[in-house]
Amino acid sequence: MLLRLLIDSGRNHSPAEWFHSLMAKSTRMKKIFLIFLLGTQVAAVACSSMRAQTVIQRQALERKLGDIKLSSNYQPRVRGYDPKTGSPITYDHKPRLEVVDAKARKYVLKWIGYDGQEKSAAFQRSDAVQVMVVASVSRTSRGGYLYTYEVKNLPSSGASLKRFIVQNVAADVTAENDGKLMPFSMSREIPFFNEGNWLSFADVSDEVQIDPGQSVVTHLTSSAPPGIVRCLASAETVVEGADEDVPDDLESLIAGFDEYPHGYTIGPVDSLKSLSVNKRVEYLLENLPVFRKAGWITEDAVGKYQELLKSGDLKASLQQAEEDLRAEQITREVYEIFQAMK
Amino acid sequence: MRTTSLYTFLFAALVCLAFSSRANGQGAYGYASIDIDPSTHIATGYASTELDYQTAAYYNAEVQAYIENEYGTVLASASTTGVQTATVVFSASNIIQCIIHRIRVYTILNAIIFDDCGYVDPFGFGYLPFDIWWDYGYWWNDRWLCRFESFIRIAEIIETVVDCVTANVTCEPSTLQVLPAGLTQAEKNSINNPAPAVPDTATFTCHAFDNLGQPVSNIAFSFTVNTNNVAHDGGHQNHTGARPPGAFNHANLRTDGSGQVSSVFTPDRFGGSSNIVITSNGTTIVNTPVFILVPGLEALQPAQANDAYVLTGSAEDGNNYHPNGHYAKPQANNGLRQIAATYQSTFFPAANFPNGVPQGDRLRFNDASLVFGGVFDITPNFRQGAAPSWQLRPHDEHHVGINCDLSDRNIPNNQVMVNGVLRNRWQVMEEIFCANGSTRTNREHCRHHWHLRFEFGQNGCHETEGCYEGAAGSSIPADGVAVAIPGVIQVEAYDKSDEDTGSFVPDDGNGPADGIYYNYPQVLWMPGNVNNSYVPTIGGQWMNYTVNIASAGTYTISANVGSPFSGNTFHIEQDGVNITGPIAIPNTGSFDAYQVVSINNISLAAGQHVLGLYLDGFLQATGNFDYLSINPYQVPPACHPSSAQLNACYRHGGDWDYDLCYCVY
Repeated sequence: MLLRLLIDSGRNHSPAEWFHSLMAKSTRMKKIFLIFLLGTQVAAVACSSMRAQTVIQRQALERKLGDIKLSSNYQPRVRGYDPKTGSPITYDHKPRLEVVDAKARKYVLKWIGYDGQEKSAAFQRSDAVQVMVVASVSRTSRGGYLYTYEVKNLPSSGASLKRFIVQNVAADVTAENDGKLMPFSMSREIPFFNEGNWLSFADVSDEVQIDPGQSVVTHLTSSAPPGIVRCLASAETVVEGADEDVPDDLESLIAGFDEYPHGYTIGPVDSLKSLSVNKRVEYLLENLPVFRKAGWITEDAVGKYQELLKSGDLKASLQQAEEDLRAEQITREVYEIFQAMK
Repeated sequence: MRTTSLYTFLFAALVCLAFSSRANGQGAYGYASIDIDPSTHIATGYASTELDYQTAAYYNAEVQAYIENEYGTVLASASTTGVQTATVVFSASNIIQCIIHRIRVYTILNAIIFDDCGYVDPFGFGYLPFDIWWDYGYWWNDRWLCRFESFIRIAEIIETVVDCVTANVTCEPSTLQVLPAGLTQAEKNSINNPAPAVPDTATFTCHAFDNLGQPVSNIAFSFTVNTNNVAHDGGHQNHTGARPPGAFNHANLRTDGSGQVSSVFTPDRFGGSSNIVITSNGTTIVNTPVFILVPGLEALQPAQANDAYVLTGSAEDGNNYHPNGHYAKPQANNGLRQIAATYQSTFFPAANFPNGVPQGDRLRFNDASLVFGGVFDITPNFRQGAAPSWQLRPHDEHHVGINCDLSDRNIPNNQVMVNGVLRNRWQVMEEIFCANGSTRTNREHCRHHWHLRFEFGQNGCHETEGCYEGAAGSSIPADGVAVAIPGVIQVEAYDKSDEDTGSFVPDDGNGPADGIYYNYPQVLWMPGNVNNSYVPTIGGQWMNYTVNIASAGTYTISANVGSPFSGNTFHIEQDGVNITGPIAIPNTGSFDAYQVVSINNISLAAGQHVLGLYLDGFLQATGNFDYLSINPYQVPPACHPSSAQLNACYRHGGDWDYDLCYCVY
């Protein structure tokens, strides 16, 4: 009936005229229309929800993109020392921050220099890049694992990708130098990198520049099976422009390692070589939230694996992973971790 | 504790004796004493003036007495008058031991002098010589009686108690290690992590107490500090003058009611040892060194046979001013060694280079921090005071053991094959720095090195351009303002820049011994005068000065220069054009003996221009330049000597100087 009313009402009218005509017919008609509208909205929301549960949505590395600000109670700048007392002679250098390009995370720090003239230093934060990491694993001829990382500098990124840093917890990791990003081991003296080993793949060639929208692939080999590891990515930061030393205020404005875009991927983990069945189940259960947070698994699949793993049925879980990979319910990362638990 | 030595000291001011002839033997006498009771801490003063019979007939006696401490502060006072004698006994409480107390007494004649109605000054006090302190007091109001009253101060009696009760005193320092001044909070956090924490200052607290253990107030303490020349002045060997030792916030203090006193020692920016001396009542209570240092610095291990680095800039290069220049925090040392190891494995893998990195390609680590930390003054003097912008020098940051310079000279900035792939070597190095803890690498390629910073916090890593250049071909005045001409150009205030627009010091092509070459002029203090500076120069060196010339015309350009050598010359350029030709640098006998040399009649265009001071030759030591002075050329008056004058001059072997307009022999 509703359909007939709509068809009837729509004859010989423009859409606007048709709508007004329809609404003018009666209060009853209005009620019918509102019910119809409400129904379509509910249906749309339900469908949307079903889509979220059925399609994996891989997440970009996480960024903390809050405004950066100078401290309001900055310390006056030291310009010399009293020769008699050794006390510092300070002056108010009036630091201020200007945004050049918020998306590209470009800023200019300005201040009053030692000579009384205004100085400025331009910089771009390391978190200017928006990066997605896709990892996969294959077996080598010697029985080890070849890890492949496709690092995507997303089109929405605000800068070229400078480096990709990935963790591993294995003793025999070898980084492949494929001619683009060059591998370096991050020192464990740096507190941020004192858990496990971290390899940094960096753009150090004039020939290579990973601009927004471009990707780069890096490789690792190891005898260790894949497990969950952490990773970082960054743009290059070069502070330039001042004609004197940059005030210390800059330090709070530059992104530290803990502010680099960060997230999870898979990498070699020695401890997974010799886990008991129970420990393997436990490991998978523990990491289901990580899979979910990274967008590597659908909500439906999470439920299924929780059920299977809690019942201790590792074999069924592995079979399920085979199916889910084909059905795009999980990403390759999840599948590889399940495979490593065989 | 010693008991009080009670001195009662009688002092007579026989002032009248000095005038006895005028006073016909009349006299005034004074007495004073001071007594301190150690049990009550009360000082009792006694002062008396007595006039003899005849003097008393005309004058009244008066005494004014004070008890003072050693600084002249009055603690109690009393006064009185009498017809023939005047005596006071008075006291002051809290008069404690170990300091000097005085009783100061003025013996005064209180005269009533009749003036117009009949002059009366029988002993002639109105004619006292000026070296005796005296005065007339105030007018009395009975003027109509032709009378006024005058106080005539005729003697000063001082009695001093110097040997009084000594309290037991002790002093304790809060620490004998302090950080050098001038560190940022971030640097302090880095230094003191991990513990132990070293504070910025040392507080010396002293206590005074008696035999019963009760606190004693008002005990005086003196706090002094001197440079303690140990360990080569904290790494600065053979530097000019004494290293600034630091200072106390109070030099002289007295114990408070709790018998306690504290003075805070603040160090200077230079590392080293300062000697603290605390005295009380002439007795040294404390004599101890305080070490001004960054804790936990360790020497970077000299390179072993196959290490990929060498140390430069200090003893290995015969540096006489800072022979121990490779001290750093252990993490920084590890970072440096890791950088060398990564450099080796990246560029010179063992498979291809079994003997390690070739000598010429090894990383050259130049100057980390000094053995004590603190200011690393690369020049041979102790820099003092606030410096204007043009005096800010490199190595300021090398003071906490987290910095090191690394030469870029043997790491060319070009495409090189690394593991079969073409790489930009400088970019590879910077990534190695990042991976090994240099969080803020400063690019100073204009000075042929990187400045590494090992902060090891969660600071990420980034590069800062340390070579700041103006627009191409521009020259930037040292303090932002062109020097007004006519006027004086301080040679050390050369234009800013790092490359070729402000200044230049040539390299001999082989690089300096330390591998890092600073191609800008040094600025040094004049010996014994930190308010004046000079620039040492060598052949091929030049410095630009942006000037604003008030008007076009001819000028006299003078230079104040010292040199022990003959035969050197310099010239002046305006906007790149030689306007003077060679000007001889006189042999003054010493670099520190200055002499003004001038050249006349030099044309300068009006407006803003760049004048350049160019030292002719190449690399040879030329002289120390203090200033340039540029003033309008004063044309000498016309000189027309008579033929007789000329003949006389030549006949006697002279030569007529037409500028001076007289015969020069």
